Amino acid sequence: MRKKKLRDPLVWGGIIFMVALVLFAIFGPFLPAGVKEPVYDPVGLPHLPYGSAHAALGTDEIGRSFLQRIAYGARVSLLIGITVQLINLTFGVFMGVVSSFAPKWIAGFVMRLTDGMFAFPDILLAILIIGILGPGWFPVIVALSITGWPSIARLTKTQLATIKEREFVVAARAVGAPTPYLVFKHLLPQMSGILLAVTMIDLAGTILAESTLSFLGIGVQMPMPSWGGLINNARFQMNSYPTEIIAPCVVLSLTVFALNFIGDGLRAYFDPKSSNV
Amino acid sequence: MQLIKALSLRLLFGVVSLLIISFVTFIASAVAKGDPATYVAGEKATKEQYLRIRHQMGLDQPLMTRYGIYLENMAHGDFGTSYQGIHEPVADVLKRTVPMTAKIAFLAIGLASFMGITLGTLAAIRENRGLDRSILTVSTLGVTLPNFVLAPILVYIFAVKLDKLPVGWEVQLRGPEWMYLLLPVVVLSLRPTAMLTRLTRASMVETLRQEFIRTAIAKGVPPFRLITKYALRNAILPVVTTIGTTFGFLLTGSFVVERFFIMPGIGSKTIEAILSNDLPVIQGCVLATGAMFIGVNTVVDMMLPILDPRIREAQV
Repeated sequence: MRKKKLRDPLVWGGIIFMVALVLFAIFGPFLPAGVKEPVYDPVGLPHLPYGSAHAALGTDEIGRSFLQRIAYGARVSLLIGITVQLINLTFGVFMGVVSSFAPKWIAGFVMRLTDGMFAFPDILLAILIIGILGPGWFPVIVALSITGWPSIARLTKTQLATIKEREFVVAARAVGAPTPYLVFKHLLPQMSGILLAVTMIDLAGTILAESTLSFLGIGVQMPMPSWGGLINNARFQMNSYPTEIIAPCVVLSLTVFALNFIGDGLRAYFDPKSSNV
Repeated sequence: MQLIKALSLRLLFGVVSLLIISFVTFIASAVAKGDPATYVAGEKATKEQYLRIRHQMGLDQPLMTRYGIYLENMAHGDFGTSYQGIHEPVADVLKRTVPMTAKIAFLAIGLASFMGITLGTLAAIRENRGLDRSILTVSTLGVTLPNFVLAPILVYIFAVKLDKLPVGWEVQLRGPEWMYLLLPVVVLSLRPTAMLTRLTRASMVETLRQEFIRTAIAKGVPPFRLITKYALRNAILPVVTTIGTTFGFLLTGSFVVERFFIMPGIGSKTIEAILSNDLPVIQGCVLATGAMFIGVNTVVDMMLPILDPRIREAQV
């Protein structure tokens, strides 16, 4: 079954982009810094347009290299996204397993909770949570973790329902394998591929959500740069410095596309039966 | 009779959702740091004044009693007062901001439904041809592109370069209102349009393959009538359901769009309240937005049994 190679060019394009982005996030901040000798514009700030000698994308209003700012933003966005996704994955899989194997009343409660979370718009709950905790990077992680796990939990539950009935699982149970052993040795490895695919797509969603909150001004706070924050900052000087809004928009969109391509490709690879609309 | 039963079941579900969301917003004030009584009493209050205000506000009562008081106050239209500025009642804030948000949301969902169903149907008729491919590609872009990426692009083209439309809302409108509403509504409707297009296409493609369509063609039903009366009528159900759920995405976008175009709606008010740590306003805004979401979903849910007798029977 696994003989088929992963050939989809979009997936490889996505993977190459993400590798490049991670390298950029790690090493980008060490690129040649902004202005060595600030060139003061009439307002009195060393605000350079793109294509300047020392900074390819120009500098922001206090002379910091814009390319570097985007690299720092990549660090923030990727770190928050991956952290949230790890929490969601752990908690979601846990809840999914619980709702498949726990006694009926616990499972029923977990399922009701999951359904309830689906009925409520995520952004609204995230905004309420940030409203309680106040703006900042930590509340963003809390808010996105609380709103993100139900989709993974539901996926785990539906996947487990089919795998549970397969012969090798029935056989393992027949020879007396305890449930935790069954879950960790037989069931979860079977669904690791599909979980990886969904995690990629959800990671795109998380990065987008973090950017949205930061764009609104209630997420990651300046001076810590994030793509959403950079876009929000740049929109007031769109006329004079269009690259400052275009660059983070392009990087963010490409990241979201790349992760979606990877996720869709992996899903088609691991689970050929599922078709996507 | 069946219909009434199905409808009241959905109405009940809507009411229960409203209760849940009101409880969630109520809990917010209980877990938030800081005591509302200190805000109301002010910094100069003595210990006794503080305790008296605390008692007046019912903060010394058990949690569930306080929830009861909270619900009772809301039934009287009392949502508390803002901590900031002139201590404006939250009900007034909502009265001022909700119409704006509701206006752009309904215009956007209307535009999205019309565009999505039309484009999706066109794509399905021309399945796998050039038109279909291009509609699909554009809609894929539309689903993934966030609003705050799209909004600057459109503003840059239409407001900055061409200088035809205003950049954002103004206190004193200098022109007809539709000019100010055009860009926000278009930005807001893009994502729902893309989603509805893809869904309509998928549903129509499936319907067009069915045998009753072939029979209708053989009978000589004219093409336009075939599509609208025969195919679309059958394919539209999942689309109607999704119009309801897309409203959730619209709310998401509404925060961004209102903030971007500086519109005095509930979205920008919520963000303002969070930035100024104004809990009663945050609670009121989240509750009102959630109520709108539930309201639209309930209405859409109630339309389904009317549109499709099969659902009516399955429900009861």
